[in-house]
This record gives sequence, C-alpha cells and structure tokens, in this order.
Amino acid sequence: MNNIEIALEETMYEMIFSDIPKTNYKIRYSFDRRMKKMIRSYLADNTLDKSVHKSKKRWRYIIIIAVTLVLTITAAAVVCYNNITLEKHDTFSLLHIEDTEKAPENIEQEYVITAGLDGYMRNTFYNNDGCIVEEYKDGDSQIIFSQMTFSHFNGTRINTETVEGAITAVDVNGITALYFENGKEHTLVWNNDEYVFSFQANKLGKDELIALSESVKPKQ
Amino acid sequence: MLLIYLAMVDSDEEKDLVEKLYNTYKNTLFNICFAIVRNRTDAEDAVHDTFIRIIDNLCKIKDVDSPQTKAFCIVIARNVAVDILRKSKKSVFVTEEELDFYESDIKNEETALSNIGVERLKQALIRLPKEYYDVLMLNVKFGCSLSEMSGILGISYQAVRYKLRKARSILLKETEAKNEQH
Repeated sequence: MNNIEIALEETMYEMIFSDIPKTNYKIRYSFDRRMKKMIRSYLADNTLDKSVHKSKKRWRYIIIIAVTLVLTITAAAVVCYNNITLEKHDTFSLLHIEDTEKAPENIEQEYVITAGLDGYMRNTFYNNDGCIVEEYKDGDSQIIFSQMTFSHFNGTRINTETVEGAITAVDVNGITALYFENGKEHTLVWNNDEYVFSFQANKLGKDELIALSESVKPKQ
Repeated sequence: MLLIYLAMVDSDEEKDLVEKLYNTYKNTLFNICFAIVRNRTDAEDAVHDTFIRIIDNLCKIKDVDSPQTKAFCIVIARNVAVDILRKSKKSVFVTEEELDFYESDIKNEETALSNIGVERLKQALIRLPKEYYDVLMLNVKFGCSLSEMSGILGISYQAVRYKLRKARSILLKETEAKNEQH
C-alpha cells in the first residue's frame, strides 16, 4: 500500500463511518421482502429488475400490469385454486400465490413426511433460505418433496404444452391442492397459509400422492 | 416438467456474498439514507438503488465484514441519497475549461501525492469535502475506473473526472501549505 492508500484507510472512520447515524430505524418488512426477491431473481438469471421495486413507482406498475392483463385476458386465462393462481398461457403456466401475513420469509418450521415411504431411501436433501427439497428413491420410483416459502414459490413455471390431463383441484386435509400429470411425472401442490408444499413422483398416482401429502406434518 | 426442484438447486459463492451483504448492511444503509433524505420512501429507494450499484460492482468486494466493504457500501449509499435529494442525477455541471484542468499534468500529481507523508495526507483528507473524498476512495482503494465510478455514483463521466482531479489538487495544495508552515 502506498501512502495515500494508508491515509485513506486511516481516515475512513472520520470521513465515512462517522456518517452512520445513531438512529436505529429498521427497514419495513414489505420492503425487505421486495429486496430479497430482487436479489433472488438476480441470482437466478443474473439480470436485475431495476425498476419494479421502486416504492414510489409501484402503483404505476400495478396499474400498467392490471391494464395489460385485462387487454390480454384472451391469451392468458387465470384460474384460482384456494389462494394459488394458475395463469395459463399457450405452452406454459405460471403459478402465483397470494401473500399472507402468516407466511414467513424463511422456513422457520420444517415439515416432514410421516407415512407412506416404506421401502424408500432418502437420496438427496437440499436446504436453502426459503426452500427445502428431499428426494426419495425406491428402485425406479422417485418422489421429490419440496417445502417453500411463498416468495420462493411465486412465479414458478410449468410447461403445460404436453400436459395430458387437465390440471385439477383435489382435496388434501380440507385444503384445495393442484394436481397435474405430464407423461410419467405426477405433481401435487398445496399450501397451508404459511408454506407451499409439492410432491413430484414418477410412479405414484393421484391417490397415493394425496395420501402422502396428508401425512406431511411439522417436524417435532 | 415442474421446475421447482431445479430452480432451488442454484447456490454458489456469489449468492452467499450478495445475501450476506444485504443482511449485514441493509439497516445501516437505510439509516444513512434516511438521515439524508428524511423520509422513508426516498430512503427505501436509495437503499434499493445502492444495492443495485453494489451488485453491479460485486467484483470490488472481497470480504463482506471488512471495513473496506462497509466503507464501499456507505460511500455508494450516501451518494445515492444525495442524488435523490437533489432530484437530478446529473446535476454536476462541468465546463470544458474544467475538463482541460483535469488533463494537464495528472501523472505529476500522482507522483507528488505518493511522496507525501501519511500523517500530512490524513490531515488534508479529513478537510476534504466528502464528495471529493468519495471519488478518491473509490479510485485509490477500490481501483475503480472513471466509468465505473460514474455508474456507482450516478454522475456523469466528466463530473467524476473533474472531481477526482479536484480532490488531488486540493490535497496537494493542503499538504504544500502545511510544508510552508513548517
């Protein structure tokens, strides 16, 4: 380091850190969530959405989106199941979930499958901020169980181009869940107002997945 | 079919860095911005813009918890907040004459500065207006180019060039004055 670098480093307190006020305001929860979502979207595809999170401009964007939705209503049909919305497009659909105050930003309570896994071995386990994924295998049979926060789940895309059966609503412990099939892959998605859960399986059918989902309980 | 699984398995060092940066500095930066703009909405906008600029310049950050990183974030935040307060991002007007001033003998200045003692430099730096201190810090400590600083500070390339030259010039004058006093 040369002299100017040393001098700059040694004056950082007076010139920079002294600017930190003694106030201890906290950022709003809603703003915090928007920021985390922005960071997550950047991490997913390395592009920053630099505009939509501006609080002052939020309403402007909401109005534009609403008008656009109305104008394109023929191209994208929107179907609601419980508080999960399925936005159908020609070759794909987007899943959205209505936010609730109860929904935590991070996974604070882990859920586990308590029955129906006889013969299956846990193959992989992935736990990250906002999502837990477990994969179970029994020979060729595969089950993937996911637990996600609402913000992690929002905007999930499913390819409906080759979906053979219609996406249907089924009942899981009194909660409306989405069930759909694509070839050998069967998927069940539901939420309990706090987290979104999903099962994907290649050998299990609708009834077996519903039975599995009814066994999902908070980890003790 | 469903991309839930694949989308989740997307973790690397960069992800940890960005998330740790955000969680470490979000409230500090909010308080700094709030102290400048004096309202929550503008302060949130400032924090948002600050993180976008930080993410755009992630390569400058090595260790999240280091004082250098903290300084880097604060320098950006206070400049963004001041920008918002001014309501005009490119408000620094620089004349051609002032630009020529920059081009004159920059090499000589750099050499002259590197020969001055640390204590004398520190005394001069403390008296430097913060807008000049910030460009000097970004340029010298973080190796930012003029165009990088233009993006980070939200001012024009010419304005950055002018401020950097002005900062060096003030430092030299201050330290020369000290020399004469001694």
